Amino acid sequence: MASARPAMEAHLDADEDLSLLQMVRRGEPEGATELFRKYSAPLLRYADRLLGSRAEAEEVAQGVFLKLIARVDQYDGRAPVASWLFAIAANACRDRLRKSGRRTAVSLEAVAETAASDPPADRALLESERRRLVRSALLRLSEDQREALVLARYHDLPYAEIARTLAISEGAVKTRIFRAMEKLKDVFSEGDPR
Amino acid sequence: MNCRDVLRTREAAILRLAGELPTAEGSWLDDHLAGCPVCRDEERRLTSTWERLGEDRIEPPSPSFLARTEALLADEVRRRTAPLFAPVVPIRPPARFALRPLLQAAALVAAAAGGFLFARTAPGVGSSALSAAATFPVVAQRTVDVSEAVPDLSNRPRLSNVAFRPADPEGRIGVAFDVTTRYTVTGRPDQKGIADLLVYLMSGAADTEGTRGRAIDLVSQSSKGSAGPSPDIVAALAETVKHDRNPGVRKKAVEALAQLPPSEATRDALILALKSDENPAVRILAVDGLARGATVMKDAATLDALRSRASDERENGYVRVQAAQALSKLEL
Repeated sequence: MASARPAMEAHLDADEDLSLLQMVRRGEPEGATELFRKYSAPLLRYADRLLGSRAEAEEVAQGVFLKLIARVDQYDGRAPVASWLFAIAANACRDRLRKSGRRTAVSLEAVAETAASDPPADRALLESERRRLVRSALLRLSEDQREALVLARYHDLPYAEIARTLAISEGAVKTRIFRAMEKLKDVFSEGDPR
Repeated sequence: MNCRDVLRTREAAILRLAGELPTAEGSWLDDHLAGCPVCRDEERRLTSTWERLGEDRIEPPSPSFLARTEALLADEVRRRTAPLFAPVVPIRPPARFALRPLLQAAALVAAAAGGFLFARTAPGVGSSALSAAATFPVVAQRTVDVSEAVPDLSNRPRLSNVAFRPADPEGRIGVAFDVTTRYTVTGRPDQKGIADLLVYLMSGAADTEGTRGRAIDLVSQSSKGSAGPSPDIVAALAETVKHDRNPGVRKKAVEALAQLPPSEATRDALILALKSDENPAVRILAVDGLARGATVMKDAATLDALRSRASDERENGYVRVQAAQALSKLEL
């Protein structure tokens, strides 16, 4: 968990990020490419889980760094660079979901039913199927619940950081994650083949 | 069987999974779970849910995505720091007690733009004269230290998008803002200036896919019927095919390349799209473009690229069929 991460390591990370941001400000491309190398994978995973589409997630990840370059002079240092990047990504994902008016294709019932059916014999297929079920279940959460849960579960962000990233209170983070977990617990428990 | 503390148990169990449970509440949870089978089951289901979420593993970014994006970002940083048309209008040293005419600089820019537009609309100005035309700066960012210059606010300009930068170790704060100035640059699409703008926009300077696509359309229309495409236009289209993140824009760029009079440069860009674009619709258009070009300029590189696609079992079936059909027509 990030909360258990050595404080010194987090500070070094933050200092390094600020140095890279300064490079971008000075017009040195290496600052942007280094930040991209460091954060492209987590941002891609985040967007992929929020949008359910790898292609769109790649567009969002690219867009986050293009915005970083365009707005580098607006960064005020109040939040870590990583939180700023995730906040840009969260907004971009929300915009896409809103514009497309997207609804997920798989109902909760369908997730549970599929999970309860006989598993494929092949191990790789089984794993792939389980991944798909988890993804389907995640996509059934509300956007608010999903973005908070994904940051906590897959990116190890403490609630305070999630609150800052999503511009909400810590209480709201707690509520969203609680509701998300309640919903997922019911889905997985009903269809759990284990 | 039920437990009146089940809600508290759920809250505490989720907080513990997320690493947020205070120690005191953790002790309560452990004590309670030790004596309550209902809550133990509840806690087990939540833990199982948390672990189950871990089964959603996502592939790391592909090397091609990383390389493509790094190149795009490096270009973007360079583009932002390089002046577009001319050096930034220099800021004059401040006169004593006089407000620094930051906005007077904007007025100078506007005056230069007016002169530019006037020059463009003057009759009898041919494209050969354009290279000598006046230029005006279009500046994206400017930082001014008030010890060197102060802003002239006497005309009460409208400041938007205001942001404050916290104090640095010397106690200096920053106040950032936009002063919007809208330029309209007029001319024929094939005239230098307009052509440069269109190339610049389609090369990624425009924020939206719609604008980049429209710029490509205008370039494409203006190039129809011309004896030979401008190398700048072909290069910009090729760059768009290589780097634009939107498949719709890449499709438009490939279509535009296919409509230009065939040349080695257009052929190479189309072959690159056919070989490396991840979107099958873009590859299909590249096949069409190559086939069209090969009727005029049949060469080994085009035929090899089409054969390679037609015989590649990993290729999308429709792209293979299109490539095979194009080959059969060319080899008749």
